[in-house]
Amino acid sequence: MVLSGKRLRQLSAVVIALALLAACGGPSASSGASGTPHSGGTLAIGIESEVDVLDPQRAGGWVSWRVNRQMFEPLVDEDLSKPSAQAAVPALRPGLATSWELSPDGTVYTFHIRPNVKFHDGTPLDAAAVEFNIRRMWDKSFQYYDAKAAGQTNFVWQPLKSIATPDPMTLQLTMKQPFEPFLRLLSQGGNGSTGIMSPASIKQYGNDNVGEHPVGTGPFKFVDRVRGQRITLARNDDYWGTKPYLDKVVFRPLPDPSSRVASLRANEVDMIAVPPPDSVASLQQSGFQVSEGAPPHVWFLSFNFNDPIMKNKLVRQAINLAIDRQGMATNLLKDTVKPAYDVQAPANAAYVANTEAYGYNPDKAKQLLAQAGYPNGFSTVMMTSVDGSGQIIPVPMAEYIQQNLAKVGIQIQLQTTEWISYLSKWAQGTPPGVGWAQQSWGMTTPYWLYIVTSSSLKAPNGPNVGGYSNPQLDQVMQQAMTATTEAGAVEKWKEANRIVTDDAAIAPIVNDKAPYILSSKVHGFVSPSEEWYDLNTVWLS
Amino acid sequence: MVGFLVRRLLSTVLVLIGVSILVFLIMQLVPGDPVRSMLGQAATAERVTEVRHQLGLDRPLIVQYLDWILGVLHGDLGQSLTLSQPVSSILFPKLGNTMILAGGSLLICLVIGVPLGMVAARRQYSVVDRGSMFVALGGASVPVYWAGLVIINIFALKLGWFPTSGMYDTRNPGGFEDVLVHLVLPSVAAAVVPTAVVARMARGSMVEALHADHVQMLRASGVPERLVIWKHTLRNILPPVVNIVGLQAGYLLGGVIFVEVVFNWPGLGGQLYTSITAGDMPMIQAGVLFIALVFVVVNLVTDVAVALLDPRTRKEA
Amino acid sequence: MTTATLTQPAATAWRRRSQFRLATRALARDKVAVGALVVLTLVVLVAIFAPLISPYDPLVGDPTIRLLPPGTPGHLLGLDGQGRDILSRLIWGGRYSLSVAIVPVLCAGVVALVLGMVAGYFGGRWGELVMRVLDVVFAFPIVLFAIAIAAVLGPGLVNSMLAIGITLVPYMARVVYTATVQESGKDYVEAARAAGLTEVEILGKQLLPNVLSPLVVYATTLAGLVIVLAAGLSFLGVGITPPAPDWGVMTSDGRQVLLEGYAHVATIPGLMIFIVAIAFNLLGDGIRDALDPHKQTGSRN
Repeated sequence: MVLSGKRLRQLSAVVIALALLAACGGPSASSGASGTPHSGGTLAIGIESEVDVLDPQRAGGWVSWRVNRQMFEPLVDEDLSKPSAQAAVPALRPGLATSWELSPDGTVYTFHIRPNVKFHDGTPLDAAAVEFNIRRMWDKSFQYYDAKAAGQTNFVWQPLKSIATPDPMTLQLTMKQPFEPFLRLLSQGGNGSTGIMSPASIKQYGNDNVGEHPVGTGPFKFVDRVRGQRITLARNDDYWGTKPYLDKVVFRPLPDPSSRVASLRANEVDMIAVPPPDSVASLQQSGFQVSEGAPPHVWFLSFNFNDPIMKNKLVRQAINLAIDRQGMATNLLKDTVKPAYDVQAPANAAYVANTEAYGYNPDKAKQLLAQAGYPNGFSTVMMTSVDGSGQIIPVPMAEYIQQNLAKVGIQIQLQTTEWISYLSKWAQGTPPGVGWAQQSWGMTTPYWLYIVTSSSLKAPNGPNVGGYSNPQLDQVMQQAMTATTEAGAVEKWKEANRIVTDDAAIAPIVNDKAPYILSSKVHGFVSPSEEWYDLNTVWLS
Repeated sequence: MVGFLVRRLLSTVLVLIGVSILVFLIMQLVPGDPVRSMLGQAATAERVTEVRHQLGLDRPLIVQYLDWILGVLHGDLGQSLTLSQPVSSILFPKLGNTMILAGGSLLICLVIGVPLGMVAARRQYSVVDRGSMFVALGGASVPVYWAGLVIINIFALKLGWFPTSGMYDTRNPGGFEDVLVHLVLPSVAAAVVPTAVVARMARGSMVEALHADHVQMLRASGVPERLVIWKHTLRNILPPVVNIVGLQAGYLLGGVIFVEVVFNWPGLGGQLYTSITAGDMPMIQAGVLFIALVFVVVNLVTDVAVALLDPRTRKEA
Repeated sequence: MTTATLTQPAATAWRRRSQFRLATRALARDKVAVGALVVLTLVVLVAIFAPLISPYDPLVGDPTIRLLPPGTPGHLLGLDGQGRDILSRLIWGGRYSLSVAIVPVLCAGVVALVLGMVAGYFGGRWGELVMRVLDVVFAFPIVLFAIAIAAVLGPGLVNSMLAIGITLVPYMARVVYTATVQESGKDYVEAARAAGLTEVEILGKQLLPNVLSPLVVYATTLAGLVIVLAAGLSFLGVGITPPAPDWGVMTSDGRQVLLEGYAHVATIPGLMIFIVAIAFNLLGDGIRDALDPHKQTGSRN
């Protein structure tokens, strides 16, 4: 490659900039730890949308779980104390269960419930309390069964056959068949969660109102909520684990990105989520810290398998090669994301980077299109939303893709919808005429691939919105889910990965780094390889 | 007067019923399924049907509507579909917040708009007149969502005089003063259009009043100018001004939505916008009903005030 | 103006022609209104001839030169967040922003004219009923109504025009209705009936011109408000959507980078909306003044 004078200058500029960044201390994965931690203070966090409900089993979306997990804990949790650089996939750790055993055939889980734990209302935690919670999400005949919670946590409890409590602090769950992702799914919170709620609070307020009076076991307890303004939590001084330094945490919904940045600059909040990519550099210059990681996030396109053009594998492969992921990450998104080279997110044991299938090669793309019978390209429609949880800046990103594809002859028309409407539209599947629909998702368990590619979960029955169906893939994923060891499962998931990549069923575009901007007063915040975080270690100077 | 009031109250009730039916029908046409939005990405068709049944959304429309109306008459506004909370617990605080914002704007509108209009009328066709009317007009022609951000940038960020958004301080939410200081910028932004309208109307009415025959006569008979203006013309311009201010109050109830979004003011406008796009029927029904109610009451009060001030309209009524 | 010495239809025809001439002359004297008309005509022409005038394709951008300020060589007004030329988008944007301002007002005006005149002239209980039904719509804040309809129809230019048009009908109909009722009671209508003119002729030839005046004034002012409202709908995501080079969309997109020092992206289209809205309003004022008999004769009183 011959470097023109202009290119040389551009490269030098980049090199110098990088050197400067390194010198000044660029984005870190954990905020500066200058001085010694001390107790006290109120942390104000500007979040990107309102939390839906403080009922962890009914709540949906990452934003809600980030707040709820400060108050509620599952049986099995993830260790979020290490930044992504140190732990690409967060390790599982005991939550409200101190330990667990799995029967040799992989169908019976025995959990030992943590002793001497009290809910925020003083009632004790025991196996009966956990059973109460599980039945709420699973047992239709249970007095406090909640269809909404069951709908959200569907994937976790589907394989459950029966519950037993051999003694007051032991819980036994028997599955219909081995379900390897189960433990990891217990720690998740993007679609409902298995956060344990105080049975007394559910009995007192009922399923519909308990969200106004959240009572959990976590390091923070609920103080008040003014919808659209704030959710206030206070330190739980009786917490069984590492007590937080902070006295209080206030979550403030600020959906307008400019408003969020303005609030941070005016010192009305101490940290903000989802900064507009163009603001990151100038915020850093003003003395703010950037904390980012590699969470299990993929911004991806689901191809419409019912569309005559998209049916063709060569077309899909061509589209994957025609998109300049690195260009988007650097020029448009100012490196607040990483190009995605696999359908799984990096925070996932089954992640395998594949630059051959997902790199930028417009010439090969044109070749493939010609082979497929479209030497002059074609036109189609792309569905996306205007904003939304984890969507970063979907419209400019879609426009960027539009321009990339135009270069290989593919003309796309954008169909943009407001987020909440988009969710229901997306879930109904890609309609005729639409080439693909965009979404953001991902989990630390490879099981996520099953959710979006299984033929039994084709829309409207499930989130496989493109209608992708590959019996061989289904079989491999079944083997992965019923494997009896994690290693065995991961091997099968990687095989599934290869099949999906070869089929080009999905086009992963970028992985969000989930940057948080923090004021210089905030210390101890860790950006783990997850879409949520712990606040126990955070302190204010 | 009593007959007038009774007739108006009756038509108010009819209008409100009409409003609720209209909203109900329109919302049936909104595409999208609130249950799907509620259950997020992982929803399966089976679960969606189950939840829909639990919420009673699979019953015939007329049954749903009547059930809702009965509930309202008993004070039960139902449960929000997307917020998992009783509608009344969300509606009333937010309605109150919108009324505070509308009230603040209306105050600015009165205090600035009416005197501005009057001064412009006194100096008709002068630079003051043309200039102030142009400025008023200009303010009304600017997209609020852009101007609002500029205002925030200047007065909140650069000068630091006011907070950037919201209704309360985040860390130490206070009382009356806290709200007041947060109220300034949003109510100024929201007041721009109504102030323009009121100023122009006040000017127009004032011009007419100043040139009216009986005023000329008063001047000719030697009554001092100050008295002419304050005692005589003011009384004459009050009815149309009160009328237009009442109309602006109604406009503000809906028009503040942009201000609520830009300034993150937790009002009903912003909530309704979210609910409309999410298809949250109970929330929309109740929200629109209450806005219509306030609107209609404000109109009624305005009409009564105008009738009291202007005997001529009383005769027509 | 006495017409007793002329036959009725001829008299009114003559009256109308001279009134129209007086109005136009009064308007021509009003420098501000003329200025507004010139501005609007210019904008319309630019929009019509966009393909010939626009230096670049408004939809194609180069992300490596995004957000460069006005004055960048080759890009007089700078570039937006996708690296698209702002001047080109501004020129093409006129097509969207002007359509969404003018078309709904025109269509709603026609519907409102028919509705209002029929209800106002034939009046009685049916007229009252129609107006009461329209009252229901008045109980909705206009912005929320537009949003609701837009949410039902979906986003896009045509749907935006439809949503706004539907929203405007009751307001314009009310103006027509009030004017019709007022005019119906006047002498010349009685005289026309006595002279044997049919109802249709009365409506069409006698009432229409007099009812049209307040409607035209109202409609022109409305166009100014509508262009701002449409931009607001785009901001909320229920109006015209990206990547259309609509000025409302451009302003809304530009907000994202406003605080970061790239003010030109939002401010330039915002200014366009501002200028066109003011022009419509000033023109409306001018028309209203021109139709005012006092002004026509040049008297200052």
